[in-house]
Amino acid sequence: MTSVLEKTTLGGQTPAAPRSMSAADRKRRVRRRLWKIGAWIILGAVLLVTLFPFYWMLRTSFSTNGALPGQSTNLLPADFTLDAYRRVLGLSTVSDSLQQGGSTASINFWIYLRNSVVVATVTTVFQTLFSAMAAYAFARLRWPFRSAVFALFLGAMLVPPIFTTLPNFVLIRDLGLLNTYAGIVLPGLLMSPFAIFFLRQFFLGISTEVEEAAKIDGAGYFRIFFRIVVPMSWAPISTLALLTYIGSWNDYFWPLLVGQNENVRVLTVALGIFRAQTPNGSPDWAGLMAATFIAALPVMLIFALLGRKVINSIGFSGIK
Amino acid sequence: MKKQRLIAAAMAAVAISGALAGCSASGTDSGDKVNLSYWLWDANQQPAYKACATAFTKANPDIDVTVKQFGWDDYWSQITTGLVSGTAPDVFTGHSSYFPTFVEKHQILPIDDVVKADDINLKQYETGLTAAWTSGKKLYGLPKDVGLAAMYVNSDMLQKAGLTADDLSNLEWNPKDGGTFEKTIAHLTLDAKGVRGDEPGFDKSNVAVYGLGLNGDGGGLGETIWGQYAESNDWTYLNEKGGKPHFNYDDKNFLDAISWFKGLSDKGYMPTLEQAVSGIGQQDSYGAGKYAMISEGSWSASTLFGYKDVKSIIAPLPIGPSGHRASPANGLADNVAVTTKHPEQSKKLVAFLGSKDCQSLVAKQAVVFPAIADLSDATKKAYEAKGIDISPFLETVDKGDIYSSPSVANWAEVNAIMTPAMQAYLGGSAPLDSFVDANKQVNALYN
Amino acid sequence: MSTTHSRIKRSERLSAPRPARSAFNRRETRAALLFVAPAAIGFIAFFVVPAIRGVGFSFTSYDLFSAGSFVGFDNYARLVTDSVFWNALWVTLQYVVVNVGLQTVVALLIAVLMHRLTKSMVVRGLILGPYLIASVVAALVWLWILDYQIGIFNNLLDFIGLDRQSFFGNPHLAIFTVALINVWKSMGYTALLLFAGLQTIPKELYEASSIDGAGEWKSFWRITLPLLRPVLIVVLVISVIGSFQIFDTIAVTTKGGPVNSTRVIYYYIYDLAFNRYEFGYASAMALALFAILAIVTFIQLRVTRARDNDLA
Repeated sequence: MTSVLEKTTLGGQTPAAPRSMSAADRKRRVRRRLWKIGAWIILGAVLLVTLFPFYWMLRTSFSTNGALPGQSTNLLPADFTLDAYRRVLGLSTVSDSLQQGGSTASINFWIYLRNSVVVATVTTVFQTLFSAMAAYAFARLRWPFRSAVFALFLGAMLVPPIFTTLPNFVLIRDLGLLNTYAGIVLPGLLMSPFAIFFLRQFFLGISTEVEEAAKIDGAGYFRIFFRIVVPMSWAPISTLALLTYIGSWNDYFWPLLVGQNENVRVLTVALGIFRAQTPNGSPDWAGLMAATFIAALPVMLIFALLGRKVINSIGFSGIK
Repeated sequence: MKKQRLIAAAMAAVAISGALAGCSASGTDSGDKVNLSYWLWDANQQPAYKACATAFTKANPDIDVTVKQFGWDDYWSQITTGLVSGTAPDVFTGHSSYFPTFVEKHQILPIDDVVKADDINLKQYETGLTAAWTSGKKLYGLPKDVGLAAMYVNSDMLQKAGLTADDLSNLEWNPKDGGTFEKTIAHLTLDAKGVRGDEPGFDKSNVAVYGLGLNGDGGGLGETIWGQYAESNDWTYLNEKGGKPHFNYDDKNFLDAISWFKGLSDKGYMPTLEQAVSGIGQQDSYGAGKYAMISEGSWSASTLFGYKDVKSIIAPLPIGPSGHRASPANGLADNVAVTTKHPEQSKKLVAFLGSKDCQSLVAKQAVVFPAIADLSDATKKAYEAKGIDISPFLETVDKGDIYSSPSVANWAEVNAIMTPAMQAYLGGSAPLDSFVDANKQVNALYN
Repeated sequence: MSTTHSRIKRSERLSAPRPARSAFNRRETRAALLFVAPAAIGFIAFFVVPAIRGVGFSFTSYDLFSAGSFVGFDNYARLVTDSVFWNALWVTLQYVVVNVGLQTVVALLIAVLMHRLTKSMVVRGLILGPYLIASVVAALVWLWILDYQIGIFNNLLDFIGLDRQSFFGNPHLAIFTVALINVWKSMGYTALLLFAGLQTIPKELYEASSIDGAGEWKSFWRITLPLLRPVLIVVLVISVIGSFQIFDTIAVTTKGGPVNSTRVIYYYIYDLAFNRYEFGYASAMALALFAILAIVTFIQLRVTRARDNDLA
């Protein structure tokens, strides 16, 4: 916190500042340093709490299932092995899997990965696009019943999923879209109440001068939206896109219902075989942890590559 | 217009992906070939059933079978959704807790016609199993396997306590003082300082190893938890009274058994409910060496013998005041969904899956005990190859010391009442006579 | 993009008087409708129609397999006397308060720290980590860590001399344990949302205030918090709505127990619908949940005066 302030403060650059520091200045500097140390301690604690379970997952993923309960206090993997990762990537034979406490279902890992990428990408692109358009209409355009319709759309967030799952499934079946990519992405493709709500708040915050100027120049609403508003809101839009991607990637119940066939099965559904298969059974712990890491990897990669753009883009706050 | 271009692009994308994926839709019939879908939840049995499916297609070349597996957590919601929307599998593995409801709601088809046509010998199955799949004098499935309960014992701890496997072969329990069974449990319990449960100075608030494990509250069934004690105390879950089921959770024998069972926790030989359910479960706790003995099902044998740090032996359940042991004997069977488009072929498949030809393949896997009595020797050998001696299970069946779980409609409602009641009692927040009220509520469901 | 313009005759546009601010511009309305169209189609097809059907079900004894008979308001009458329902509402309320309260505070803290303390991408990526795991897996991992007998956290408590805790088995602790697990899972995500909001606050304001001699704390209260309000509102509303619908964690860990102390409203609804096949009654309960959520959201938006925008 202090570093940013010091950089932007004019104090450090005042030409006539006296060499020696007054007692008050020294006190202020000490206080700033204490704030900084305190802040780092807090951040460190937060990181520890956030990351320890990940470490535990990592450690478990390199363990042998049979040895896990007996070595519960061991911070290192119990009987280190790469077997779990072999099982997840489909490189393990049936008998080996059984003997290691895993399941015997076959895994076509790369196909599932491809399916997840297709579903998540299509959903993200279209959902973000359509939601941004709707959010813009709610935030910046004036039309009759605007508030009422917005309230209705928000209401969609409140509809308990249990209402929508079964009828949507029947609808998809009637459209003949079971076991297709279309069937999996369709319900989320066109709108997400959260996305609209989120983006509308940001669009509300955009100053109107730029838009007014464009209108006077004769630009149509679509041009204003795509050429001006969207670039200005790139930070929230890409944040939303990232979160949508993650949400779609981790979606489980709907793709389970609609996409059962091998050729459309997504990764999260396929990796459900590492959970407990029988009523009182244990999950394939090592396999489950390995599967989780591998399933999260693509998203982490995307975040690493695009994250800088997402996180660091400085929001336009008005006319410069 | 950019907007129109966008919409066109969207529609195209949707259509293309639909077309691409639609190319390989399965479950449709091409020509005369019929394609049946079969679902099961136990991934460990999948190879065996895939082999059965191949054998079935060999014998019936115009019928293909696709075997699909879903884990238990997802299985029933998938089946339900499938039945509602008409996309359910043709044949699926059924479970006794869902069976009465599916019958009542007409979701599964009876198979009497194929039993007659193929002259299937229903006596080849262990006693009581076909009755569990019969309702209103119609049979809805052929018994596939039988699940039994016994004690799994940590043999190292047994040795250190100075006991042998023989000492465990004829234990008895009773509600008054627990008999030799409770004495053994107490002797196997160790507190943090190494004092045994039956020695002076035993500190029950600081136990390191419990003599007997606890697997939860058990709801209204208590399978492998308290069911074996209640049933061996001359008690049964329900009786038929005037054509309606009447439950007996207020019966003295039941209350005595449950209160003795809870007493084990109070004395420190068994964990309290709070301690037992706060985490990953009895099996892994056993594998961590926290329990000397646990009562578990035959279906868990592979897992329990797979722990690296624990060597196990199997001992029979204790004999109760009735003079007999009481193991649950619940079997699965395959059901035909009412939504099937090929009822005749589906019933044929069910008949094959319940036959010796298929079940002998399953027996070799040593994952479950087949329901066909003749196959018990083959099963025993298969398990022995894995280092597991299943004789205690088989003896229970031979002696007839078995009981079937209740098979009534609305069982989910009964469980919804009994689960909190059992949790409250075992957790110490409700007195023993709270079961009287719970029983009233249960019986009110059927009036 | 002049095609829109050419649609409307030039002469019309030039000669028609400029509409007053309160009247609606037809061109604007038409554009707005086009913008909203895809979302509206999705809304009607995938939300409205099922919701209406759900309302219909709530007046019947629908059991998923057969149509069921019309029972009027019976389901709703049963709702009023169902003690498990009221208990579920109470449990859910406890969960929502703890979860949203803690999550917002922690996320705000993290967002501010990320904004002011470090520009490290690594830190930001790590914070988001828990959100990337499926909630079921997160629940399983914590189930292991907090296990009474062999969980590493209880081992730690034992080591420093405190009592072991039955996090999932103690009726007084269970729901709070579930809440904390979900705080862990979602605080990175919430922090990211708040962080996006922090980006829109102009740096000049901070510069100006520090020249005036304000410390970090004062800047936070006077600048950050008020200008963050629009985003904070979104985050609060979303978190509350999401918390009311908690399901996964409980399905994996406590399944509504012990003694109904974690039987939140949505778990009860799901249990009724899919395990006990009482879909009609579950629909009535879901409708009640919807009404409660609507009221809560309305109050939230009113109280925080969500329409205002302080920056303009």
